[in-house]
Amino acid sequence: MPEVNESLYQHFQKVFEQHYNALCNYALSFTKDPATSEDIVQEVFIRIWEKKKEMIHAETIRFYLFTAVRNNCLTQLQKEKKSATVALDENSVPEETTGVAENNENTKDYKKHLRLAMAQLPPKCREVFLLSRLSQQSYKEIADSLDISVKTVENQIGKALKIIRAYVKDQKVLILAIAILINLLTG
Amino acid sequence: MELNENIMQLIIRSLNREASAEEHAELEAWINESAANRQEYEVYRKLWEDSATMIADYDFDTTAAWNEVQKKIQHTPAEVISIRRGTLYSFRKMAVAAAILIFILAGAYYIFFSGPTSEWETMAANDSNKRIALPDGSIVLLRKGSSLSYANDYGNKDRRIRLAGEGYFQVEPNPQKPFRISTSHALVEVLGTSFLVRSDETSDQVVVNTGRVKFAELNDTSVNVILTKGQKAALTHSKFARDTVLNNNYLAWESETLTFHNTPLRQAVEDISSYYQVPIQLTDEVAQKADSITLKAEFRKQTIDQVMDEIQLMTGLKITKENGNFTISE
Repeated sequence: MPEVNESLYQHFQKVFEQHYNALCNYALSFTKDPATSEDIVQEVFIRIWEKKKEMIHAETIRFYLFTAVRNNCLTQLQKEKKSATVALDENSVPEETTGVAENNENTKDYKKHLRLAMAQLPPKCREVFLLSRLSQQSYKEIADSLDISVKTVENQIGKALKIIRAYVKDQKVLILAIAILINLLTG
Repeated sequence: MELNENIMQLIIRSLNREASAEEHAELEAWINESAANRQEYEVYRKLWEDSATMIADYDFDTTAAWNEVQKKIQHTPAEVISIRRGTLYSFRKMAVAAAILIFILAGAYYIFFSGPTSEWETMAANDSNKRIALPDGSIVLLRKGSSLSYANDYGNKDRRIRLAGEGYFQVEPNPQKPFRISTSHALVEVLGTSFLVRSDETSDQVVVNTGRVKFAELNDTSVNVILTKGQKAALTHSKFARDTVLNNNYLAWESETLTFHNTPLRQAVEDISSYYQVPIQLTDEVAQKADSITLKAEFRKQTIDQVMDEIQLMTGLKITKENGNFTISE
């Protein structure tokens, strides 16, 4: 039945296109190297096609992909004898973005602060938050993937949002204060 | 504004579309309480959405990557699934199979029950695991390929068993009549408990599920260990090695299920090797870190190849198969 198989292949491509970028960004948070991240993610897809075709249509494919990428990244890190901390500081993520255009200074500031705020999160908290936002999975799936309870996932997400919220708020106040100060000095 | 934990929980559930109808109503009510509340909720919703695009900040070239992957995978579009034909034929085949089975069983009966053994009754699990009820109501689950004998005077003074292979015992409590299992090297003595005995040419293993078990060397019972619930020991060349039982995989041959819950790779490999009765090697590099890699999985009635594929996929380690032996490497 060629057409059945063809559609499996097409579906595989769809899954690939849908998740590739998020998976690579997820891998990047561990490896901090775009090329290594791409290698790991592609390898996971190749192995699914070669060994686990039945996964392609499974509801759990997203869970499977993110979990496999995480495990492979941790293995890779162990190989390189680096500690497996999830980092999203400014140095780790290359600056240029081809995504949403940063059309004005305000958005740029806001984005910068958001990024800095995320870098301030405690490691476990950051890991949970990052996986949640990248994979868009349910809290249950995240809990299973990281082997923690759903309660812990919710707590860590709440904690992350509160920290980011506070940070962004502080920065706004700070900028405003600086702006007034500059105004006073030059005015 | 410092949000209380309850409202925070409602918000994060609603953001991930996981709030129940009641939770939604509760959150809605809170939002409508004040403009400040509404604004606070909007701030969180915006942070939630923005953080997603912010984290997936680096733009990977999906199209180029797909072309790469496409080159590497062997895409064969026309795999044909063959359909078996001829029900009559297979019925005949089944009849032949049944006849052979009866023959084997009869043969086994002849060998084990009509021999000159007047002192011992022997039972063997030739083709599948076997559940054996002993005269006193104790139960033995005998693993396929193993055999068990019990004395004709079983239960008179004591309860004596001989075991070759592997069995799980649920012993009826009776302090007056000790339950004794001898293997070629070991003597295992209990009063009433459930535990596993595994015996081969070089070593014996006992895993205790409940109760207390005395595990001794056959020729010198002063060389022994006492094991209690959750403990196991192996006897190899008159030396005991004790350990704790981490999971129920020692009974996988009965449950047909292997369960790993953050199990260190070393333990997992031991369990898999023992269940499938296949040697699995770790290279030195892998062996060094085999305790730090953990697995989380459940395998129910899967083939060894499926299990190994899964482990390869989940750990990123390389698994090769040669002459039925597996090697795990980096």
